Amino acid sequence: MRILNLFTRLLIGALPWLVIACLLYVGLFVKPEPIGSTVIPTAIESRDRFYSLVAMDTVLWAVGADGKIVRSEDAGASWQVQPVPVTAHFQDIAAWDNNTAVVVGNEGVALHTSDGGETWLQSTAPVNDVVNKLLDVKAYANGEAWAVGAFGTILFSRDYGKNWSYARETEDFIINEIAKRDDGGLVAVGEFGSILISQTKGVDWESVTAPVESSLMAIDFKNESTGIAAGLEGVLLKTVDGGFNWTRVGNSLVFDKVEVKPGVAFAGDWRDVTTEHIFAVVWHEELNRWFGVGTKGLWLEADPSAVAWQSGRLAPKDLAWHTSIAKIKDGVVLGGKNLGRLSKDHQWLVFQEL
Amino acid sequence: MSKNVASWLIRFRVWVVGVILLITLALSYSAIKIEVKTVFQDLLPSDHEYVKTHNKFKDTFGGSNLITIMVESEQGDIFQPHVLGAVDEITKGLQQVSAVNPFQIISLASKKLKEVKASTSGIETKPLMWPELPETKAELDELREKVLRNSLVYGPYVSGDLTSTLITVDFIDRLLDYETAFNEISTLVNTIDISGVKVRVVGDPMLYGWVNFYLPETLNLVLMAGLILFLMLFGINRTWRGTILPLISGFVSAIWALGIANLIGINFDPLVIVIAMLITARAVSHSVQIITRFDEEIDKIEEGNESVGFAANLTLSQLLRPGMLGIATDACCVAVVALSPIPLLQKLALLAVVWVSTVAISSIILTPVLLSWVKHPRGYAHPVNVSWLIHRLLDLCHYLTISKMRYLMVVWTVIVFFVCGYFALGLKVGDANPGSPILWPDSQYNQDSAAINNKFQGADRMFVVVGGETNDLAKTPEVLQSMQKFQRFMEVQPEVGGTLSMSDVLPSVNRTLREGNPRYEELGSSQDINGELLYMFEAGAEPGDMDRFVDTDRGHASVTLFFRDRQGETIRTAVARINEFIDENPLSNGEYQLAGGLIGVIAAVNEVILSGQLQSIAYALLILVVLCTVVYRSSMAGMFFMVPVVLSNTVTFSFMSYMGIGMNINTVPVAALGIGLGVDYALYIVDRIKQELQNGLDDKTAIEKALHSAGKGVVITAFVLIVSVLLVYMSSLKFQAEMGLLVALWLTVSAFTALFVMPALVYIFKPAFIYGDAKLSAPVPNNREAITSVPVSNNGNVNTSVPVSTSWDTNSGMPVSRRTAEVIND
Repeated sequence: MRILNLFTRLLIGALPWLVIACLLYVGLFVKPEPIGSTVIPTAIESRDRFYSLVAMDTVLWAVGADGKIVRSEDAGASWQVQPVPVTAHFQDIAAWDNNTAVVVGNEGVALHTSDGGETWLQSTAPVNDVVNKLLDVKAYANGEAWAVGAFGTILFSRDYGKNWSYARETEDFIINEIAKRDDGGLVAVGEFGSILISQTKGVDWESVTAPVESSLMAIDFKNESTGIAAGLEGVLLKTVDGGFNWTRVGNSLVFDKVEVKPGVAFAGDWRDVTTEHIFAVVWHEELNRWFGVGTKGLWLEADPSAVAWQSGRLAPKDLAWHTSIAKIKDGVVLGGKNLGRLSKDHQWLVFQEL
Repeated sequence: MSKNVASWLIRFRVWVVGVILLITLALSYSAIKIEVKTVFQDLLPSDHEYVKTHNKFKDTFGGSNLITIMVESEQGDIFQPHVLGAVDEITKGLQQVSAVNPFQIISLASKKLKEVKASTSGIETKPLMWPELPETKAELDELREKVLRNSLVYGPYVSGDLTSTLITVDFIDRLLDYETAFNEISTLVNTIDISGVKVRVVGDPMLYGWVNFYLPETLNLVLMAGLILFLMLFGINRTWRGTILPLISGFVSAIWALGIANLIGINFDPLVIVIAMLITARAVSHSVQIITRFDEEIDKIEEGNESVGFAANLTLSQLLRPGMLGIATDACCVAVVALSPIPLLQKLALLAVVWVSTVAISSIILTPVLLSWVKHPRGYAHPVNVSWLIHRLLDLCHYLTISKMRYLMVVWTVIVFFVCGYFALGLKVGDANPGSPILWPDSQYNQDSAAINNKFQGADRMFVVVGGETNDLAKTPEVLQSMQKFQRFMEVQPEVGGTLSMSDVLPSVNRTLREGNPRYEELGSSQDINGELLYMFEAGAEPGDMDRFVDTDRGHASVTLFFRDRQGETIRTAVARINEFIDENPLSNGEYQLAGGLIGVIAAVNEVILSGQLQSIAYALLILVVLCTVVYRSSMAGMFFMVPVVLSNTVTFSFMSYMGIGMNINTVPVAALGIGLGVDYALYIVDRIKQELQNGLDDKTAIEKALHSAGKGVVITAFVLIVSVLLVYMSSLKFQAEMGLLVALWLTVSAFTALFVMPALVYIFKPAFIYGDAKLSAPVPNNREAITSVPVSNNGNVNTSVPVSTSWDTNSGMPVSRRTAEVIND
């Protein structure tokens, strides 16, 4: 009893100091914790810039700035980021099938994969001393591939993009896109309205004079003879002889419907289908249409003869630019400031992952 | 010693009162000149790393006094002449506002928001809408397009649905006066009377402007509270002395405190008016205690033989110890708050120590000295007597203390302590809810704030500085790319609404240079290229245009993070994420520095207040324990008087947690200064028990007597003060209202503890420091009978020292004297 009493007294005597010590301890060392957990960025972020994408059935494969490669197996509903060995900005992707593809980009970087992007390997590609920026890559049968870019670079590969070599001496202008005609001829377009043609599978190149001096950004062929090149400020060029001669299309004489006042000269004007920059143009065999995209949410469409062009904006407030068109069954998928599907009846749906 | 001091004071009463009067007059001259304002700089813990960063960079990257004005179109988008006209008018008007930094007015109509265009002659940066306003449909459409494709404008300055646009304006901190800014901007905004245009304004200068705006109302409420106090004291005490002296006491201490504060250069923050009320409440309490005791002493003296001087002297000498001890503990406990790193709290602690100390003179000395002049000590000013009610309550206290119920009281206290302790753990650090906790949720300001945060990425900003002392470091690809990555990471965190930095500007310049080709929308690959891009952007720009992104040496760049609310959790989590990013992405050259802007400094404050508060409580308890141990020469005493303090703090914290009152820079002063202010009620009662035990009474009677005398004072002051403080709940400032509740709660808890818990503890534990040698003075049931049966002489000249005992006349509610005190030969 006495011990218990003593113990109680001791406890009561010590209690105030204990309380003070506890408070001091908490005050000095306990900090409030943050709530929740770190949010890991989703595959598609608002700051992404997807310069290019390809579509094969439901597989969509896109590449963009800051070394980003994303792939969707379900037509854009969900996306996964693929690991890459470099962080350069990727400018273009081309694929032979679901598993085999090649990617090119800034700093002359080229990557290839043969397992659907599980592993991306760096390819052996030559670089120059001035500027290396590959802007476009195309894949053709039997592992043939062509890439073009800044400083007049034209590269080719015959082994599914593993090894690359120069197809032409470099030169100080930018080549923006290359296309292969059905007969095997190659046509490339670039800065200052430059057009290069090779009838010899890339051995010899000749320069062709274009009717414009502004930069041409895109080119595609419907067959061995008919092709369209497009560029800045709404320039659309058409060839029917495999690229040797070009004429401007997409602009026409427009008669104003307003009544002309007496004494006023005849009111009529050449009007372009668009004056915005066009960054991509493709021929869609299945839909039998030409498609184009560009800056400020621009879309373009034309009949197979590329005479009657239409243009519009994807959505009233969507002023995103697009640099790439991938063909799917019932429309096209666009890559750029955002990724989305444009159906053939002009319904625009942006892929977003929330 | 108490007796000597007391008789000396009473003997020289004219001198004492004269000196106090003179000092009061002198100090009142100083007191009326005290500055009533909030000094923002005082709110910041200046040694904190974030605040250092803030102070170093606030002039370039934006201070914490940013005002955000939203112009909203009620119909259609903002691209209509009348809406843009309003934006233009406000933008121009802002240049006339005092202390505005003219280079930091940013809106569609200012020169700051512009488009970078490539032209034949090179690159051209052109303001979006300056100097000419668009008028035709084509011009309006063109402006809309320019906005839509400019990510520095569409989002940060024009809302996603295009129906509203922001104007932001920053001030030169050292020139800023919240009240002037508030008045001038309110006037400017009110002159914009364009139908179909709604203007909303938020920002700290506005917020504190609203506080000043309601200052007259707050003062009226305080005066009303004083009036109610007066009426209730008069009603309950029934004497003029019981009414006027407590008020004089509160008044004198307030004048002294404010006068001294002004002399040592402390300003009075309108947000701490509640503190003033709290301390004045203490002054009133002490004074009422003294008057109650005086009345009691008068009652002891036979009618016709009253000697007010004697009674006053006795009162003073008896109450000097508990009174002074109470004041000393209050002052010391308040003083530890000065250890806080926040200047406001340091100043406030100083002010409070001065104020509490003046109570020693205004209540403990002045009140009894003035009482010695009382003319009709037994007279009453009105016939309505409610004191029987108080005595019924005190009978209940007594019953609960001496019956078995006392154990229940203690158990109940323990339960309350633990339940409240559990709830107190939920106390939020920082603001607990979106919107400003200073104003009611339905106030104009909070509605504006909600509307702006709903439309935009967030009106409150934090900047993080990246770079180092080396010139041009901010132009290196490593730093710029790291910033980009940082922004990507932070933007997906739900706490952050958006981010902005130089690395958003340069890629678009690069793209423009490359014929608008988005494939070149990227940072330069070398420091030189980035430097060139920066130069291009600045060409034709005004000085200060790049200020919000990078400093003049180009060594430090800022990343601005936009927050939709300033809740403690939001900020804390965001800071944790920032640190997480920095840890995982170290820079080889340069470093990340947290954090400036309003959110940055709030983060700093939030990081120090909780630990500061807990440390303050610990030190306050330490001082309390030491003081009580010294005065009563027993460590048990320290333990004993910790009970009311710990209990009142726990209950207050749990109440704050329950009401969703976060612990922030505004609430922390009240919580901090309240720490020590809970103990003096208990001191009066316990000290009285001790005195009565020393007089030879048994403990039950001693407790009864203590409760009916000191306890009566406690009941009166607690009741009267709680009712008057609750009046503040009608305030238009939510903060004042809540703090009023908090103070009322504080008074309730300390009164409750003093009346119900402390006596029970005394009776159960019979601590040696109270019982002394009379320990376990065997509660003989007959003892009381014996005393009451002592024949009482009626001639008043009995000079015995018979133990005191009193019984209560249930009809009059007044004590019936059963003995007389020793008569002095006066």
